[in-house]
Amino acid sequence: MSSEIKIKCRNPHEFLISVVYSLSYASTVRGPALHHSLLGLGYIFSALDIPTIFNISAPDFLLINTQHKTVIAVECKGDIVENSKLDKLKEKFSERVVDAVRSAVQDSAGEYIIEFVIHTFDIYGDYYAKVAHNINKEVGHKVLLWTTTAIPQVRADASTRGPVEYYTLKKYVSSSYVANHNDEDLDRLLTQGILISENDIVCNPLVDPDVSYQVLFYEVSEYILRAAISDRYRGQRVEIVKFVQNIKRDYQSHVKTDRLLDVVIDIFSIFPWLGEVRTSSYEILFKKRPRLDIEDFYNVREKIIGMSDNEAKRYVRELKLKRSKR
Amino acid sequence: MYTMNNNIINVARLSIAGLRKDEALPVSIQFRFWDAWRRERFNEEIARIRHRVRGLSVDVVDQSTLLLNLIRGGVKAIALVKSIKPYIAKSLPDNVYLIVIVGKRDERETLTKILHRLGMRRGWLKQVFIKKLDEVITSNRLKFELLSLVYELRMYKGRIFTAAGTANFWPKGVESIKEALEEYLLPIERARGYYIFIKSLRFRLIKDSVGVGTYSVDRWGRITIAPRSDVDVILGILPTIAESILNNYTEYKLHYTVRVNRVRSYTTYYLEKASSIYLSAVDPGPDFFNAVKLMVGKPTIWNNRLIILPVEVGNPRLVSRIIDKRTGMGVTLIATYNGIRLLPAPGSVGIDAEMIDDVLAMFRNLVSE
Repeated sequence: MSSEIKIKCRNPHEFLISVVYSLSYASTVRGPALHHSLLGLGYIFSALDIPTIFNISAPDFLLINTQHKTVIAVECKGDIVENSKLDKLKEKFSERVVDAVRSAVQDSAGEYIIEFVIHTFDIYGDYYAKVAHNINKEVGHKVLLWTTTAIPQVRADASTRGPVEYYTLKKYVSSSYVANHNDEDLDRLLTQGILISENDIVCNPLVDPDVSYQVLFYEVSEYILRAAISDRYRGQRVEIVKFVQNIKRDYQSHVKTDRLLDVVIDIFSIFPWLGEVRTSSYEILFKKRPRLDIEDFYNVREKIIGMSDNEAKRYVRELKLKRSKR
Repeated sequence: MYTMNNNIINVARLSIAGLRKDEALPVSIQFRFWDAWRRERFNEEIARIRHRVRGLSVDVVDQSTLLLNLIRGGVKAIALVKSIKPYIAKSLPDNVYLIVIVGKRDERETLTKILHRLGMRRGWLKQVFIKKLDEVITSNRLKFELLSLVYELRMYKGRIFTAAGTANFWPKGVESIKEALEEYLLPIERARGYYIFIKSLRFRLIKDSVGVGTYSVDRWGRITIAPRSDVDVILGILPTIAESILNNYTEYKLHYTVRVNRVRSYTTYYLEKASSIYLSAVDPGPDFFNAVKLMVGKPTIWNNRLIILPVEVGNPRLVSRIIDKRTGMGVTLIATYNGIRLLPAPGSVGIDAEMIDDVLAMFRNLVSE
């Protein structure tokens, strides 16, 4: 990670997604009004899950406004893209993606305006302006650029009576690069910049389709723990595919189903007190009275999250073997 | 904040009159919240419950009314569950139900547990409201006489909640809650750094020098009418209690909805109506942050109710997951120097008011109510 970046989530990509994800949460209590919610303008945070078989690389997320009939497809970039990977980036703005988005919003009449955005850090603004310019020329779609400050600013806030760290989400504009959103209100808001404080940022790692194994394990294990003690699942038999679909729904995740299935099976093998996976019937059998071993649960997860992808996979494999022998 | 239609009193009055055949039976009235996804599972749940609870029968009167009858050892109890959607402002939540239970204590408790099992969750009253409940009552030209007060003595080491114990207090000749608190209980709070958390109040009401009955109100907004007590008198405070509960529910409701749309093989997940709660620190700064960190900065089970799993412990930001051990619901807690933000954890589409109340109890001395 670049030393010029100071973020709140686990990696820059997850952080950039989470900045916009967090703007979809409204505060119900009279608290500090720190951000203008994109929700207020009618933009709903959505994730598009396209099965691998179609071979379409979907953008990280969509902001869908059914009233304005606008879809903003956003691709987040937490770092500079290598030249060899530029073609892969261009695919995210291809006509096939436009068709997929139109299908998803059931827009056969072509009423929806589809805009593309690259969301990056302010320090990479100039670089991505050039990339966006090239994509504009090659793909023929207008690509806008949003930037979030890489380092938060500390500001005094009267409503919180103390200093608060803020990030600013803005539309990138320079003398050589000007592109506007079709929705004037959104364009105005993003030109001014949206302030988002550190306590507003909610990290949702599973929105990132390329989330690492260890993060997937960490998040899903906690989801399973909660499920295992809930009225809904305690003592129940659940189809594993259905359960994985629920995870995808609850996290708005387009992580591949196969990856999630593998992680779920790993988790039940490591924490058998939660339940068991019956591979013959492809079902999960949740324990009627799960005997919570929170200390072990916490220690294993903390150990895994501190590892690299391969280390974590190896560790899980060994632990599964060790625990199956018990 | 909200105008409560007074018809709600009539609904409660008619319901009690219809259910209570014998004046010697106590009655309890309460408002509960029943989420749509739990309502959808009603048939499945009730079949399971009926299998376990002998003597229980269920009568679905209409789409918005249910009757639960319990006969055990010749003793009868009945619970009415009625949607109050038609009687309250349209802007209010539409999942609010009036619960009227007639019967003796044990049977009432059994029916209450069944309602909980069906997913009907309680609302709660703020302490500032309970501590001034007598003022609400006496504004209706009634004399208030406090009979007993059940309270939880919450112990704080510095500002950190350490333990709690429930105690009963029977004041003599005390006419107001304020007097009882100031004369007897607040000195404990001041001298030892305890917090008096009122769980329930039992009181007698006098109208024109004549005793009209004995009643109790608990922290969950449940009104209990003792045998042979006047029903109309206490129903006068029902709209105020309902309003307070509904305000809390709206103010502290944590929820989110994900709409799933499947077209061809594409699935779109829309994040809708996601809400969060912000609790500002009484004294913002590093001391506040360190106090929160001491409570939720390491894995633990708090008070045998909440599982705490820290996610990111930094300075000046801390993220922790708090999971209700009974229901599996989870909230994400984000603490900074200035306050605490609570959000529903993925998969916890709606958080019970009871859980929020537990979380608030944890930070009682640190955040403003």
